[in-house]
Amino acid sequence: MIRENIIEKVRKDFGESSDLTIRPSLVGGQTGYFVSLEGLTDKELLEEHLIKPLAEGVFPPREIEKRIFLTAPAEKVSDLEKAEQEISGGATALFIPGEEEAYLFSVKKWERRTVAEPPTSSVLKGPREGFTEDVNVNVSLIRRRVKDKRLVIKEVTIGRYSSTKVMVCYLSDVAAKKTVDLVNERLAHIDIDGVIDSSYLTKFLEDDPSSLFPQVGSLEKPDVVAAKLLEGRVAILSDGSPIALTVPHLLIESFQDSQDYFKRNTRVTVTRFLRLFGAIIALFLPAAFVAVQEFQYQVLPLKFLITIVNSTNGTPLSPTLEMMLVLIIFDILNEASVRMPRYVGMALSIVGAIVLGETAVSAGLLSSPAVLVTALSSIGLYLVPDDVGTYSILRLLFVAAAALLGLLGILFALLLLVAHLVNLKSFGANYTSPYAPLVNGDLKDGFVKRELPDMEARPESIDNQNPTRIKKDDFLRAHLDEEDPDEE
Amino acid sequence: MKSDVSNIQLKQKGKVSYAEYALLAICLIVANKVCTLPSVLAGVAGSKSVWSVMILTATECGVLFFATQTAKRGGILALDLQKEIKLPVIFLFLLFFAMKLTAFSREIGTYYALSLFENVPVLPMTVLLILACVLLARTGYATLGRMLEIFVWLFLFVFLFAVIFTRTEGDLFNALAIFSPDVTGMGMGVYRALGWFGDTAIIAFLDLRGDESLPPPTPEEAEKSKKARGRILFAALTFSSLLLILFYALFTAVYGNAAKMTDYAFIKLSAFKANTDELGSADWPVIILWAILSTHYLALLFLSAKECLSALKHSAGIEKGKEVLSYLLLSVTAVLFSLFFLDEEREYEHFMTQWMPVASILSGALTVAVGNYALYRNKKEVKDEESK
Repeated sequence: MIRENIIEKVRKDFGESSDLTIRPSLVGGQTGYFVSLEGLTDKELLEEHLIKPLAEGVFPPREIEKRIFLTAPAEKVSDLEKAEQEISGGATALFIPGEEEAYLFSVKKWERRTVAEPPTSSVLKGPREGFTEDVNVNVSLIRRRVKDKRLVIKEVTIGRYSSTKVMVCYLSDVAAKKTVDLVNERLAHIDIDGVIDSSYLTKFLEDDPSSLFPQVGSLEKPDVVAAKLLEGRVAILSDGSPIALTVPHLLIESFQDSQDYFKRNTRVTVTRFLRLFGAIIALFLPAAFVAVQEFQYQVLPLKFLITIVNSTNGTPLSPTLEMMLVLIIFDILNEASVRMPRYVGMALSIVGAIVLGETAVSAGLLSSPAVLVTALSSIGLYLVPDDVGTYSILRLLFVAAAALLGLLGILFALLLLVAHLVNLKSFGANYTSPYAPLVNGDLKDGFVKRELPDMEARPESIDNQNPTRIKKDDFLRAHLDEEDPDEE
Repeated sequence: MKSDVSNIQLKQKGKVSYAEYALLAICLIVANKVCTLPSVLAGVAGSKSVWSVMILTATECGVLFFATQTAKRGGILALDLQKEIKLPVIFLFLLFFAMKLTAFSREIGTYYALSLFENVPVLPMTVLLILACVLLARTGYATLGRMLEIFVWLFLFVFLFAVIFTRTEGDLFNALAIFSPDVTGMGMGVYRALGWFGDTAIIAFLDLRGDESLPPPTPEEAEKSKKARGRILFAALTFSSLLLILFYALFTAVYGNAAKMTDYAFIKLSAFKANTDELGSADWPVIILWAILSTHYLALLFLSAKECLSALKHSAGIEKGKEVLSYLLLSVTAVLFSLFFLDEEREYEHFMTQWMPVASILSGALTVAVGNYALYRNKKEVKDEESK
């Protein structure tokens, strides 16, 4: 039974918050109280479609639902705690003293960003839509691409204070039940005060959270998420975050890009090898530079060695310290450029490139090969943008290994790194698949990419219920064996 | 039959798949036979060292076949042998692996210390090498196999790189000596080089069975897997045998007779074509590949020795003690033994050419005997199933 003093209790429960709006109004001839939060409610909708129709005439409360003009049906709740929770989420509650239950109406409205191209995943060719901070919009963006009832969206609420809506999306007859169950189980056990961004969930989902390598994919584009769902992966969307998480996530995904699927396979193959080469340069070049200077200078041909010796001659720091210093300065500049306001960014670039680089070399504090090596390594780093953080730490570790044992140190560090990688798992999938263990079928979308019609099966590296991706009839087989009309 | 398991099952359960098994076999056949052995073998057999290696490789492949039969039943440790037979067999394998560990950690450590560095003592280098190998060994056979699956691409890349950029300094006239009718020293070469062989016994410690908790493969899957296993084994044996034989043929072509040989095989094998000054020596990529293989090889030795030690501890009723203690015991033994008994180059050569051949023969014979038993059990199981 709703008592007369209920409004006072609500006001007290909300700590006399100034944005709590309580509006008394006639409802079917009785006094009712509309309770909502300022800024989360569509005032016009509330006024025109809720308050006005309910204020006209005398009718029993059971007719309330018939008299309002809202698409979402009203919900009845008898638990004050739940009603308050819904008000916090943007719902409008109607309390009528003497009634058994309160009514909840969805007249939510708040400022939201429009769907735009995400700044970190811009493309030359292909869809440009990106996720927003509104999970419902994000779900609709995926639904628009996968128009099938088998696309299942399950909602869970996580966060004691934030009550964040988290959506688990998968294709019911493609995604492995084991993977879906594991995602649900791990999400169900998260007891945290708040989930501000989907990245809060990442560490709860990963198989080995202590690893430097991400075992959960993070994507900003609905077309890519839709493609991952079609492969049998599970996507996790969180309200307030424009980033969708996908599992299982494999190492090879860091070298793939959404545009790869819109280009010719030969071009994509070259690009993927370039990314791999970039990652290798980023990881090993600074370390190799230290190793050949400190220990194995005989590896270098004589002329090259003389050039290096001339350039480094007179530098006050040892090769290891010099390289460490330049790498750390680069990371500092990188961090500063991300955090500084855009209009200061240009000044920072000038300071970084000219003042620090040029002056330090001219002053003889740093050698020009060390700056060159760091620049090359850092360019390589950004060919694999998802793993920049990982590789920038690893290259420092490799430099340390090179300082200790030269090329042999790099080799031992590499062996331990590979041992770690081949042992990593992401939701039952081997992280280094399809290369270790070798999964022949999945090599078609590895570094050497085949055309889409060749990828008849879904990836075997991740569990799925339905391996068939492309069904080929006789016509298609005959057609594909013939000359390709799109051949350039 | 338990051994008729699909490759997918092996991958799903994190066991050694057929491809990984083949790469491990190649690693065991090739890894330790290209560093010190060429000079030792050439010193005894001269240009006939190629024939000695051919005979020894064929024997190694035979041992591998029997080791594989054991692996198909879950490995020596899981084999249903009587305790009175099993324990001495495991003890003998432990002894063999410990001897190999001692010898090769010393050999590889010495190579690193003397050839890759200046003024670096051998002992700390050996200790660091052992530390790296123990860390790798602790990850298990499947991880080591998977690591090789990653590195195989690097091998292919370096091979391609070498084909494009290197020129051999070999002379075909030198290689002609291989075909001369004089076979003096070939037999002695085989005996002296035996210490570097017998490594495929490690394969007998793998578990190539499926998992009973998973659904059994369909007859088609089992048949397909059986064929794939045969093909992979054949490819691995052919590739590694050819690689070794070609290496020794090239070696003979480069150096001619034994008198011209230097201590280490890599020093003069090849140099970059035309632009030596710009790119440096071609030896380095090869050395790196060999370092990867030899580290894997040592890690496999450590792992197998630890497995033997754990089995013996278990049978003696000692359940306590972490596995790291087993590794520590093996490492300390290897370091101390090589420090006190293999310090001099002459002592090492004596150990490798007098003692190790006996150990290799014994381990080979044991692997064949156990493999025969596994083969018999496999056939019996098939018969029983058919009669049912």
